[in-house]
Amino acid sequence: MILNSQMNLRSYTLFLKIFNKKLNLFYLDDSIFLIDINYKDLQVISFILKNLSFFKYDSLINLFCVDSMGINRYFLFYNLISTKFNYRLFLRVSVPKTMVIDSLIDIYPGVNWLEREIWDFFGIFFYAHGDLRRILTDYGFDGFPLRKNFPLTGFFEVFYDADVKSVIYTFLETTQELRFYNFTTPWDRSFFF
Amino acid sequence: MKISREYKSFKVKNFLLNFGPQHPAAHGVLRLILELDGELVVKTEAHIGLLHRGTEKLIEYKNTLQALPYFDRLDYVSMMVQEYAFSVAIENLLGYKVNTYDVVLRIVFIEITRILNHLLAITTHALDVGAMTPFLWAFEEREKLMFFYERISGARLHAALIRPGGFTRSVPYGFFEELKEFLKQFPSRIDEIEDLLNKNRIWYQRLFKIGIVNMKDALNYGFTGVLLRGSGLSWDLREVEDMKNGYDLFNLNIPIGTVGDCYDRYLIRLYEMRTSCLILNDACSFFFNNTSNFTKLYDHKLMPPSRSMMKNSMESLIHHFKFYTEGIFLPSGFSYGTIEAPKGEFGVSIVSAGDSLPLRCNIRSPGFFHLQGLDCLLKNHLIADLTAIIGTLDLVFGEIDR
Repeated sequence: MILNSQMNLRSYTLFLKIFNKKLNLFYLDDSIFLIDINYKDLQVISFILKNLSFFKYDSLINLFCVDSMGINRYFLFYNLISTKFNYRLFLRVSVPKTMVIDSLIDIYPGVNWLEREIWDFFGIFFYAHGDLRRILTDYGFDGFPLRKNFPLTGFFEVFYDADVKSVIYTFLETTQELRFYNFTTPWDRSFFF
Repeated sequence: MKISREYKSFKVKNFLLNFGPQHPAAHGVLRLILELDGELVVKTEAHIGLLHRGTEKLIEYKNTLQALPYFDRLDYVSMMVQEYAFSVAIENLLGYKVNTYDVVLRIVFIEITRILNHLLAITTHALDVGAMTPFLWAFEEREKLMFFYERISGARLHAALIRPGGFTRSVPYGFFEELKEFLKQFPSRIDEIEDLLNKNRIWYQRLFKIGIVNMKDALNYGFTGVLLRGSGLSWDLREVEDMKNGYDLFNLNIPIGTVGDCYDRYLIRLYEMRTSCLILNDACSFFFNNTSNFTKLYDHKLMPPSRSMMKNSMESLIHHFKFYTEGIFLPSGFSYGTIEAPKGEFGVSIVSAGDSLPLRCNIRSPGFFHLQGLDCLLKNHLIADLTAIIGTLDLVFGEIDR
């Protein structure tokens, strides 16, 4: 089997016909491509992508968030595959200022933990998810650690105190500050977003 | 056994059981809250994150060379596959293609890793179900395989060998002869494990028709790898993307299941080890027939110059310094590197804003999705089947918690 870029292009032109909109398209590879969509269309588009027999993007492989520090700060990347036609597609969605976005849990049930993870790390709320709890961080954790304004070292440290005979949380005290050399790169810095 | 719940004449309150993080059958730090109706599992809720180390956050503060060893430590029984995925993601971002020699050498180590992983997966599964001997035998074989890791990289487990742009070192003298020696005896070791398990009544009864996954559920829950193939869909990224990852040079047999139960998945894992052996044999003959030798990449933006070059040329000295302080420059954009890891699709997505540090490095680990589907797999099974089902998922918490 060969990932066919022609097929992918055909799928994209179909896309244009159905939605009758101008969509930004980037080729990542000769066979993988990425399209920008509006967050309002997300549910409709993914429903069509999953069920329409031209596309059959039957599995959601991945979902992740990027904190770009730009004007539109958060972007979601959906990674869909079609096992029938052997496509791979990336959808890029800009998260609105309200930080609320529709959940895809009714269309792809596998998105459940991924959305919980993004809520945990970035604080993006998924509407009608139903079970949006923290997943990877500690019980009772506060803050959204993968945001760029969250420090790498965190705020608390956890250790076993032999006097109290239990695990305790204290404010972080480091003997040395985090040494992060942000080299100014002489190369071209054109932003992706 | 799957038991129907129709004989229920009176209402009793369900029982909550904490399947704690220190249970030996949990394969690490898995905490499950089981809702039980007698011995039947009604609902499973997994609490993960007890091994969360913030790898993705750390990588945002590390250049490529510093970030690479984190990938060994994600799924710590299939190390090189993950290094490969990261390296490929970086290479895709730079638009760089590796030469054929390195591609095949990478495949050699990926397949060695696959055997390493499956030996552990099958035999720890057997250990959970009650067969101890295969575990001891397989660890002897694993030791032999880790010797190959050690010969080329100096480390038994966390090799950090596959780098963006190729390899750091060439293969030591006599490596493929030794690999060939290993491959001569290894299929009969698989036979021995099969002798103990295949028709063993306890093994068969504990696994047959337990944890059935149908294809629709498997796709909906994002299952990949053995769980998806066990449900009857032939989907293996080695075959599907063979023009990209170099597997078009080899013959691949993709086994698929018919029932989709734990026993199918066990057989698929065994068969995949045999396929890996064939690929390794082919790769060995490729290197015996190949006249070209290992050439370290001369592009010093990707690979550091050699020691002697550094001492003799000013330009190399500058490159050496820039490579080890600033790291590899990542042009702004998005790239995805993926490979069929022993557990499923392992993918690395990198978003860069034109810097030597990535803006975001996301890790798609197959185990995360498989554990998510545990609730669907375990529904209406007996609590005794829990260990069999957790074993078949092949969970490693390094990659799930990241």
